Amino acid sequence: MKNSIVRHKAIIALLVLFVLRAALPQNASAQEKLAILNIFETYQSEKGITTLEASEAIMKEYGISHFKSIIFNDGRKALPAIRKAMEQDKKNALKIKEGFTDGSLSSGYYRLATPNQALNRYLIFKMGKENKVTLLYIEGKLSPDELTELLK
Amino acid sequence: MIQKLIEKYYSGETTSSEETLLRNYFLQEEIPEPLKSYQPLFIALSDLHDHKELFSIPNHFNTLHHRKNNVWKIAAAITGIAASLLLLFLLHQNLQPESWVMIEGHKMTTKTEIEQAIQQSFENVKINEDDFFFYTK
Repeated sequence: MKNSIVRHKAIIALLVLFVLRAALPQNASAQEKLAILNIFETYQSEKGITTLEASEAIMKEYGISHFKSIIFNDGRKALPAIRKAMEQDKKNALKIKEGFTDGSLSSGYYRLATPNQALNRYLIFKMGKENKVTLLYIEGKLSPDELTELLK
Repeated sequence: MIQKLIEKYYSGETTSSEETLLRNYFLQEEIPEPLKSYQPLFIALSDLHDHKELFSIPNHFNTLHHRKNNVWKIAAAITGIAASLLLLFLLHQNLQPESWVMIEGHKMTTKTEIEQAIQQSFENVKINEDDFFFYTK
């Protein structure tokens, strides 16, 4: 009888663990190792900065489950830190597409490696006119072609 | 007929074939409203039956008394799992990142402002036709 109860409890515990594993969002673990996310946290409250965090509820139509962006009206001060973080993150990128102006990186489109094959992650950097810098972190089912189409 | 079988089941008087009938009945999608509340239990029992080797009960316990006990145990287990699922659902809702836009430290959560910021973000990183790129991977 005791063995039977222990078996029941073990099975219930396993079921609960399985459900926990399946139900918890993957976003947190997927983002953990990205250096660029420190940029979002460090500068989000500063003057001349617009930060955006959008969940799947809003981004569903794009096939995006998590969207972050930070816009620096004048990104010169933060640029060294941004470039350093991007250098670190792009080491594990699956695809790299970069544009240069006067020898300096002016735009970067990176498809990042992901532990979950059903999920794509992208990091986008662009330096615009008057030193405006925009950084985007995108996570979702959105394919590279769909992203290109979105950015046309 | 099904209602009677359910009553028999709870009294521990159903035969094995009647229990199979009940499990199979509740596997179908269209269940009359008054019987719907029984469906999760019988679906779970069906799952358990499919994996009965995990839940095998020694023969000497397989008496009416113990069958009744087992029904309660299984019901308790299902209730526990259902409660866990509900808890996880609520937890998951809380863990979902909320949407907001922050301008110079001032946080806003209205849909219009968020959508404007999304459009602005995409606009800022648009690929121009005359952009020239290096592909390094």
